[in-house]
Amino acid sequence: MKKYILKKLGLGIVLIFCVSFLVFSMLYMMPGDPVTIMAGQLAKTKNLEGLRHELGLDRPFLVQYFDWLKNVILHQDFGLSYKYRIDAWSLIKTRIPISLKLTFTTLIIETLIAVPLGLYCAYKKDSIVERVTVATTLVFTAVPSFWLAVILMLVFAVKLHWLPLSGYETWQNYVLPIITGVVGGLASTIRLTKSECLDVMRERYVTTAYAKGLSKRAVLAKHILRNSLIVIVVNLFLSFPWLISGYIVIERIFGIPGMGNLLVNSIVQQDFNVIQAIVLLITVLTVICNILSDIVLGLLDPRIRISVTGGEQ
Amino acid sequence: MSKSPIKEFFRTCYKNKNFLIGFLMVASVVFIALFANQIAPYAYDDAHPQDILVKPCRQYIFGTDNMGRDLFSRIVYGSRIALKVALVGAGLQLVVGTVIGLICGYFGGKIDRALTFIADLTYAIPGMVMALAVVTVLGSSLMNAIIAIAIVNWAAYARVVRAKAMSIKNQAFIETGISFGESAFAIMFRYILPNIIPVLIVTVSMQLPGTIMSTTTLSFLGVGSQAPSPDWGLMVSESINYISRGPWVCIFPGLALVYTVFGFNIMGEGLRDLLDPKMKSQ
Repeated sequence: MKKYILKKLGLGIVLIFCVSFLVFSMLYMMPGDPVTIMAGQLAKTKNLEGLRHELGLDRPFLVQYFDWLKNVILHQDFGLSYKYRIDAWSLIKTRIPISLKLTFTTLIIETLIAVPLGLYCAYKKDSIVERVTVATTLVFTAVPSFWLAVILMLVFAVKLHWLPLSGYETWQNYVLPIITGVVGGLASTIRLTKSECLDVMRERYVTTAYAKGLSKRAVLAKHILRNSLIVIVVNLFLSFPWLISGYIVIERIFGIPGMGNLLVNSIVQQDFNVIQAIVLLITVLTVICNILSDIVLGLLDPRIRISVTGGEQ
Repeated sequence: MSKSPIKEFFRTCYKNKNFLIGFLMVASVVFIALFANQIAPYAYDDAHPQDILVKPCRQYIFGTDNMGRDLFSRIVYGSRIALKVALVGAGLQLVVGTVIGLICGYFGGKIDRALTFIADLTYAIPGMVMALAVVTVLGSSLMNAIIAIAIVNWAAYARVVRAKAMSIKNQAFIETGISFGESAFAIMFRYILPNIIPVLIVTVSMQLPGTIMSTTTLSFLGVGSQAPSPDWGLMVSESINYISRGPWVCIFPGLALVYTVFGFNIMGEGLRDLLDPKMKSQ
């Protein structure tokens, strides 16, 4: 088990370094010059050189990269936001809790709806509920979240006046964004739960459980759900970063000052240090979630652990 | 009564309701895109300053937007953009993913490990974040948005092709080819590739809806198509500013998008059942 975890951790760290390198070199792949953008179009060439030197942008690429990396790791210093003229980290710091709060709430609500529904659909296959669910999820996978958000806004905020249009002060502001987020992830989670439960139902130990004379409910809860939970839990870990990136659009529409909104604004304004910081943060989060899901999977399912380490403990 | 395989194929297609409905929906979009000039009553950038935000009526069946442009015409022309995204986007992903997947699967070893690592790298970054980063570097335009989505998505193709190529590689007809002195290039593209085509068709059809949706989302965020393009995502995004005065401006482009994506979606499901019975949906 130790070897398995170490292997996964090692790969994760390598991935993070590669991404950090890619993210840092983004600045150099840009067609524009960051110093010109920072100083504005009217700045004189002579002053630009001074600014370039001051920011350390005239040093060799690799030196700059390692310097940047050192500052990021040791001081959480991602550099200055060219736009807001404060350091990028303090700009992002206040926005992380907002995005995380949204994502966690969405994930919990989504699971509470999707897992029972998926289980029911697998259990009562070909019932009316199952057919309606399958048809509905099929339609909803074709609905882009940005349009769903706009339509929800139109119906509940503009027409019915039940909820505020945008903002972030009260809990009412979070209702529509969370509904959008939940609907976006619901279809895939229901499908996954259903197909996983169906797979488990075909296993021999389920037949054995029935043969022992256990009630349907006991088989469902103790044998089927427990075994399908492995995949469902792993899916939860994996969908976390995807939800964060899904919230980029939703935060933007509802004017919630989260990480996603900041990212899009920074891209429009070409505020590189902030873009780098956010992309790196989300990637690190994704890699951590992936490692966690691998570890959980390895703990719960010895077959996977063995296939990675070749049977060594 | 002669049973030709082609007739048989059409009969199975006809029986597969998903494929039939999806195909008809996609075909209708293709038809509208091809004959946009004949169908649309106005040009997509034809502004009528006296008819701003007119409700759907006989003259403008979907109403007009804040510049007095006929919404119906814009949506009709927008279908061309959606199909361009589907064709170019899927084409790019397909070519890049297939070539890399074939190389990985056929050669194995170090090349395989290096390329698989790059594929893993693209999986480690959430798609929307990576697409936004790529667009930042390339600049905002529809073509760049398509490229960005291709950079996000190619690995999905590579993964499928690699696995398939690996399983085919050890079959007898490949060994025969090698012993006849065929080059690696010929083995990959003339021996292995034809055997992967059904899987590729399924993969394309499964990836298409997502490709259209993500590219449209980029346009919605303002980093894809630029005004006055009749891109459906851009139209919805522009409509938010006057949503209370003209709700129809955000409703109809979205409906068109949902219709198109849904059509591709169920056509894909149908194709998967037709071509790959093992992957049959439950």
